[in-house]
Amino acid sequence: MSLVAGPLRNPRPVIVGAIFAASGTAFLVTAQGYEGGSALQMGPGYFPSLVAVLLVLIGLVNIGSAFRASEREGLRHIAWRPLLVIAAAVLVFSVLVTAAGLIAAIAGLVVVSLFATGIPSLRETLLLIVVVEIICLSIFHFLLGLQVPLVVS
Amino acid sequence: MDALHSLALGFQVASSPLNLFYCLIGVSLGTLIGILPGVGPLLTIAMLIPLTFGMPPESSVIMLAGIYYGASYGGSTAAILVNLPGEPSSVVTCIDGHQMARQGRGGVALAIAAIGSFVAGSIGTALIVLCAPILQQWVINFSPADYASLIFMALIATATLVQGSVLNGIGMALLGVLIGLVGMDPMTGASRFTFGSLDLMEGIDFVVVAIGVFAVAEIVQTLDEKESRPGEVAATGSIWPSLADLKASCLPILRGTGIGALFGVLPGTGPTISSIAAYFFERRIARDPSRFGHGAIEGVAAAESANNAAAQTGFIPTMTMGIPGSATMAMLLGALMMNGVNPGPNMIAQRPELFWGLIASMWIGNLMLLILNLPLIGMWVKILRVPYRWLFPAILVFSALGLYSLNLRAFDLYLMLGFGVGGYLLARLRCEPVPFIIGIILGPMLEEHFRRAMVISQGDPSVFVTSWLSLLFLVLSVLIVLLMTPRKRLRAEAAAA
Repeated sequence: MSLVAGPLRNPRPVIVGAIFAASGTAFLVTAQGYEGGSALQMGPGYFPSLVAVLLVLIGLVNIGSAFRASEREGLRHIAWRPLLVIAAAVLVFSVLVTAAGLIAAIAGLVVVSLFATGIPSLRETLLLIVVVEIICLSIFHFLLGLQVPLVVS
Repeated sequence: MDALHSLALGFQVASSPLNLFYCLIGVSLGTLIGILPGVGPLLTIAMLIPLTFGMPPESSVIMLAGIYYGASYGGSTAAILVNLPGEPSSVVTCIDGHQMARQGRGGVALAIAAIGSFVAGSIGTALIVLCAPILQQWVINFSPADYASLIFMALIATATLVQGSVLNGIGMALLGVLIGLVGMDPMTGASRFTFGSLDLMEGIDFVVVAIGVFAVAEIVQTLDEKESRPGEVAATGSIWPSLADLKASCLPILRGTGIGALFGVLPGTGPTISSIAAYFFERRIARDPSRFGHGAIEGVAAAESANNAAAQTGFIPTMTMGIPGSATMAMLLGALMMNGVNPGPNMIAQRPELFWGLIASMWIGNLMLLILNLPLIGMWVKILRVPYRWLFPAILVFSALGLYSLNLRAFDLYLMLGFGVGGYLLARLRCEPVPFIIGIILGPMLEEHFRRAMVISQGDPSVFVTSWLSLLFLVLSVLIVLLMTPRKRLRAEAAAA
């Protein structure tokens, strides 16, 4: 165990602890708006408050554990490109499915998501759109009869 | 014999043409995704749950369960032929299985894996038939305090035994419990944590979270990893094991089954841990341990029977007590709840066709896998060559469309995206999603029984320690945490050093 290891060398428990403590506090504060009741006659706020307090405690212990610095593993990197591209693809889908219909929404999702790792080739994109459209439309539209228009005019 | 009578009912349910069809779809799909690295049973079940909505609950659970145990068959095929574990539960199968394949004995390895899985599956089914009614009879007499403590223990055990630190696991489980409470309070009708949103009144649909963390977050994670290209596909050779092979595998299969059956019942452990444990146990007791790693058939036999046995016995706590021991079981339970089944100790009594139909279908499914898998090896190998960048857009479309089809509202998609992004970021901080998902399922159950216990005890919390069963569960929960914390810290320190 390293003696010089300060809190900054081990930021992970601090971040995780802060997330837990913050969400616990948010739930706790919100739950105060509900009737807490007594142990005998529990209101809707009683149990959530209890769990939220526990979560805050776990968060604080987590932050405290950072100062012991027994683990020295740093933060793992975050794959921003795939994350943002995938998020954008789902957003495109949810907008298109009401605005333009099922066919456009599926195509939109496929096209956007292919940018997650690089620039896709035109041939690959078109081929994939056709295959995914055929599979998904035959299952959701023809087999299950999903009540979403194929094309919104 | 009552159990035999019930089992007959089960076979009657499971062998109806419709359920046979769903079972076949489930196991084939399971094999398929088991072979594909990066696509696991959790993701597939999350993706398919919306499709099962409106199906008879027994058909839906028969199909979803088929995906689960079918995946372990598929995982072993990929492990043996191309040295890629299609599933984490097949990691140790690679070690000796692929060596066997390189020596031209791939077919024999596949056959032994299939036979071992089938034997383990059959014994697992028999164990369920024997144990489930006894366990259910025991649990049904639990007081609300006992049951609340049991749920608490299950929650703590899964949170503690998953990867990563104990604190992170417990924190994620508590967060899941809170998310599970969103919506209308079933006892008073007050709406909680909805912020006036009507969309949140009915609570956060479990499948929204599941698709978020198991499809979206998982896809981002996999895209970030280097794609492992399948190398040379080893020749299969003859699939007929010799008499000596069978003799050598016989005891390892039985020992693997025993280890797997035990780990399957415990919360937080499952097919992966049991296959690893069975493999190393086999190596330790072998007369000549140096053979392991160079194509020892015992290694394949033990590992593959262990993971299948664990996959079967994992159903025992889920179906008899309504308490899922793993994320997959939580998903199956979630699917049942969506189809109007109340989980809990009354499930077997109230829906015998559901429980026994599932059990019988697992045996039939294992038989289908045994017959189907070996002749289709050529096809499975071709599937292995489909690159992930063609798969993930299809998975994403399927998930989004399935989710949207449930309520036809974009709100579900935004919520799913929120959980996906949040789940990914938390996973990067070494907070695993599994306790979170189990918390969502168990949270409302825990609250219900906790409140009931407190009403019965007239507000006296000592009821949780005066009942000896409840006390036992609470003591066990504390013990699990105390035992695991230092052990994990040691491991983390060893890894960092």
